[in-house]
Amino acid sequence: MKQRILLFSTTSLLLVAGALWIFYGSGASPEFVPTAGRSWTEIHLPAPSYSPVEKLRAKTVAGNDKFIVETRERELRQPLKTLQRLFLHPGSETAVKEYESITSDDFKASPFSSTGELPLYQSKEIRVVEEMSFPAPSIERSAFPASILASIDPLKILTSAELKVTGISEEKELSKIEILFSLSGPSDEGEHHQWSGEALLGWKTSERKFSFFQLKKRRHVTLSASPFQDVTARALGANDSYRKILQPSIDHFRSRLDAAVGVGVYGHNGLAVGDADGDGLEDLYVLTAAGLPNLLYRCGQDGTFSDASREAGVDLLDGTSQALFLDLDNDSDQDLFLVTEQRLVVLLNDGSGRFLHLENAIPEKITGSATPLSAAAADYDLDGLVDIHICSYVFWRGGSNSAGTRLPIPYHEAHNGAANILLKNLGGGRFSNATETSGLDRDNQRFSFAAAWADYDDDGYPDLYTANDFGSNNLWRNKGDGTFEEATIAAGVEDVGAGMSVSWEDYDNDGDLDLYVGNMFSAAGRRVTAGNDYKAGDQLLQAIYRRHARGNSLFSNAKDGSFEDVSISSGAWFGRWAWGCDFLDFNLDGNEDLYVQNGFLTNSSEHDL
Amino acid sequence: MSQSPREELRLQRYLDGWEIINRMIREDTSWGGRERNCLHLSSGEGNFIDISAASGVDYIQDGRALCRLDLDLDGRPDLALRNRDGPQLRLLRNTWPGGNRALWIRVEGRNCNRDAIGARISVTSSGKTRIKDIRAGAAFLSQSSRWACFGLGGEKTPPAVSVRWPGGATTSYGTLDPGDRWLIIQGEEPSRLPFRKSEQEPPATQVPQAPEPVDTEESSSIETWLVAPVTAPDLPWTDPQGRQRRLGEFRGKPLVLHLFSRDCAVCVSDLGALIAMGKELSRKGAVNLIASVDLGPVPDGKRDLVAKISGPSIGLRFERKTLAGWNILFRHLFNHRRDLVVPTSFLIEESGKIVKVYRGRTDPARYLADLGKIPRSDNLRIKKALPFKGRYLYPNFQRDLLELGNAYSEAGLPLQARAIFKSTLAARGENLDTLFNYAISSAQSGSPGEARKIYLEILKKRPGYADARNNLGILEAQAGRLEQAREYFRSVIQDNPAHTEAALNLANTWLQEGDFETATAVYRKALLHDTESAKLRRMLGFALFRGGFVEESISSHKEAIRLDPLDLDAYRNLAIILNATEGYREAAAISILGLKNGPNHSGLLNTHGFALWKLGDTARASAEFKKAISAAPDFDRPYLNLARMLADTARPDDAMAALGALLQRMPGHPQALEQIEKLRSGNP
Repeated sequence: MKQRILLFSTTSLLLVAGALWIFYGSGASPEFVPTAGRSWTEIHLPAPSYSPVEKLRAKTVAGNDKFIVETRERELRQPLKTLQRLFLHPGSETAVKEYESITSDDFKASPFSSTGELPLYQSKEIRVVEEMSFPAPSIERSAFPASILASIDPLKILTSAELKVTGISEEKELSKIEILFSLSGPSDEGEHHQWSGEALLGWKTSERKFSFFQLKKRRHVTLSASPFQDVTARALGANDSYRKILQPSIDHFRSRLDAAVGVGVYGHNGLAVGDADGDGLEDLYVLTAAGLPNLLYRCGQDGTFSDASREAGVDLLDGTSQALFLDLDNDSDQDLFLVTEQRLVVLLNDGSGRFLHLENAIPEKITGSATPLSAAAADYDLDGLVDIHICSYVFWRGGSNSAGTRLPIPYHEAHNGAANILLKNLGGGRFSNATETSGLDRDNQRFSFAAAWADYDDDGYPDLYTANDFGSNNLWRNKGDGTFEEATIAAGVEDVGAGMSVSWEDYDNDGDLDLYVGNMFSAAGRRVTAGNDYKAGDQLLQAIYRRHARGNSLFSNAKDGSFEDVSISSGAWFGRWAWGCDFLDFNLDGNEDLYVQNGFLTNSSEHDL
Repeated sequence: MSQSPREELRLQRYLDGWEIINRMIREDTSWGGRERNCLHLSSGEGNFIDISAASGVDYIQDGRALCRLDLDLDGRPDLALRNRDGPQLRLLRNTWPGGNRALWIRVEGRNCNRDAIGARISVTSSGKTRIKDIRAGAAFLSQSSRWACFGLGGEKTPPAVSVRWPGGATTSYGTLDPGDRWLIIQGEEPSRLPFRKSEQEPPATQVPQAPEPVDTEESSSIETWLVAPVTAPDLPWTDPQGRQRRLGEFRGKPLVLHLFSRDCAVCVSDLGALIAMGKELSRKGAVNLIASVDLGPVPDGKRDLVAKISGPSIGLRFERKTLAGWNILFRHLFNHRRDLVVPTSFLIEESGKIVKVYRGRTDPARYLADLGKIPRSDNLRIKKALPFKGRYLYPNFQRDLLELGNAYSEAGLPLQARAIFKSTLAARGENLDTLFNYAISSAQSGSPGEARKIYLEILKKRPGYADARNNLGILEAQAGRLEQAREYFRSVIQDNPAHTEAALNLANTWLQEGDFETATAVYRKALLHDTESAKLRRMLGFALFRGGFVEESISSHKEAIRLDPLDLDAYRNLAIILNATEGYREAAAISILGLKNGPNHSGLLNTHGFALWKLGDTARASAEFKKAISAAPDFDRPYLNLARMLADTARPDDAMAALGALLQRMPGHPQALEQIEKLRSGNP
């Protein structure tokens, strides 16, 4: 990392005679705030606003930049919390009183119900109703809480209410706020109810109060059963390592271990399922940050898991992002391929569930700023040995480096990242680098997070899709001669965005593989990029930036080498700030459902960038 | 993000934006946090219905990987979730009732790869064929079970199954009954594997069903052995006798350094025990340093605790810069960047390197015990520093010394920065960026000659190193060699027209000589390449004003404010211009706008006071000038403006007092003396 470059300042820079230097914090003594329950006192040192970089801190507070909609968003934060409390407790006097303080006297709301409904889905355990036709705001402020209460009958209370601002448009004296909402709770009969949809709120800018609430869309979901039960403690609770390493947040270790150990902030450490000891039961290999041991949990006959990391020889302290259980040498046991921060690693199974490090299995030493992150395996050349594709990312390392910056440039379509690698299996667990010979060295400076193999064109050869952060993705069609050609544009799967996850599945049961890509969805990004002054004068760029904040993508295979983007029409776009996403037919009705893991960084502060 | 340049050219603002984001997330700021996971139900008609909240699996953790598997072998697909924050792992058992069955199939290759990755399983029922490819690695950092699960809905008749083997033919296996799981080995008949019977269920023990994330609040003391000991900053303290003390004088002896404050109750109550420990430490050849982080004189009514500390323990008082230096070091010792807390103690080995940090109330016996346990080899250090057992294949412990050096440099501690860069160069070999940093800190710590030499050395190795040329230009300009400076700045701009800093510097050399026209041209040209730079707009406004183009200057300043509402200097300059052109009302309005973002900005308080004075509101004007003075006592304008206003309103004595205050601050201030002269002659 390099220092920020300097500016030559002259005294004549300022219009006031004499240079004006501002010394931050001069004169003020540190402020001490003793916190109960802690064995120490925090020293609040003067804000470190001495540098041009630190000055930018203030801009991360919404509205302190040129984006006026973000100023509004900040102004709305508290009132929206109050409104959220009303939805949670429409029967509470306090909540109603508070609600009255954030709404204007002439506040009007559409009734929190619809005049018609359309059954969308019906099974024994699930009922989903699409509600139709919402009257214009007509009911008085005082009647709205009762309308909410009536609408969520048969529930007495809700257990969660979420409001999310996705759009703000400014008119004279009035802001129109688009929100997504989701309300839920159990009924006395044990049914789980959920109302989610969209609404439009009016905000009187002079009064700083809500002036109307207009319901736009609403769905009512009723579940008479819970799809899942958390059994982690039952399955793993007997293991010390589970309680001490996996129950705390990664932040617990980030604040306790020497920074030089390398516990980072991202938590990009994955999970692999495979039969490590050949007993027919699938085990779990949990990858961890540098300095913490990777954990192998062996599945016992009774379905509980026990820590076998040490005896299996896989208690590696090397920071590991991904592992694959594979029979690399075709000797009928599961070996391990690991992506660690320093190297790509092969561990061979000795047949008894013990893993031995195979030195020099991989010719590539990781160099430069690249961080290999994820791995996906397939026998791309159909020689009977499974090969491995590695995605590489470039993480921020502070400042810039001199060989041109390693930050994504340009943000919306960055081609200055790191090279992905195709490893060809030579047998015996050894690999050669086939990136160049396979033609995957083209367009190979991206910020790739994930890849997945699938034979999308049904020619018998596995093809590859890579999801890249900061721009478009790549579809590589396997030509069947050991090389690949780029088919991204022909297939219509560029999917410009911040890609983090790839899954293939036949979601529409038509005998071909469809593609689901996890992307970033940012409510803030949506609000900012929706403005016409955002990247004004360049409509293409405007569209690209908007697409960046759109969310996940579902591409339906058209069987002719191309795909149809059905993200919006299918509703599959909604995944928030997604990471791993995958299909899973939880109710076994023959239709693949979707689960989306999401959220980037939850720190102690609610201030979210 | 909106600042991203379109081409691969450096743009300082964009880099700085990433830099600050990355600093903040290493502190306590969230980014896309508190997002709830989603479960979407497939309607079977191509639609997905969000049932996240009703399903109860809309967990709020920062999710990463997810794997499908059958945990309890009951034929219903389960889920394993891997999260960033606690709990980092969740096992979700499918409890969906319904009577739907599923066909579970695992394939094993014989004439292809053993895992049969890439095999395509087709399942046909009611005339419809569905497929699944066997995969290894998908989604994000996840490898799911290799068992394929086909939900059958209400289908009563067993489906027909075929497998297309990788690189081979397709084999049909007829119908398979979903009452069992099926293992299909290439070239063999499918074999049955049972599901787990309910009596084989794990016992429901007393442990809670759902794991509770443990409390990660730092409620007890934390002790951290460093895996990579780091040199303590060489910054001075003062002892009770007023002598300057430095760590260097204790070299050769291990030290324990305690930080305390009079405002921390725990610290005060433990002070006696800490002082007493000095004797025992000294018997072991170690030194006990007890330093107060309280700055400035002891307030009335408070005891001077440092004075109480006596031999062999040594009492020390922090100075502001010393405290800043230790705070920076502390922040960089952990990846969770937080400011110093008290009590904190450091164990420092004979060489002056910190080997252990204690946060919070610590039993003094720990220090004595640890003194004899300082690890002296990498292996021992790793053992001490890591909380859990395990083994490394490729250990790598590198403290980011460049970042630490930069932080010192930013905080105005260039000597500390220089020492870090120098030792990094010695330990890790020559690296141009490190050299570059070393040069900057050399220039900042008063060795421009040394800096110049290093920049030239860098350019010899990489002539394209633009920032080195830029900084060389600055050194030339500071030495008064403006023409040489311009050469450097121009060469940078020629290579990269979007190098805004070089353009600003080039223009400054013209400003220095009063050539506002040329400066204006430089700004305009730079704005073609960096259209959204508020700084360029503001400086253009400045040059235009000095060049006599008042209207254009005003609109350029307004543009600067639009681009960066936090550029307080732009508000101030604009207000000055409006005051100078008698637009007092607007000047007052602009000052107020700026003050909203920086209520203590002395320049804006001054322009606001000036406008109010001219608008006749002398009472409020006086208040603003006084606020400006207390915000920045070394800024002369508000004193002078206040004195002039008071003289104007026939209060010569008060005017005299204001000028007196300025002279006390800056003895011999010419304008103050001049005004006093005028007041004395009765001719203000």
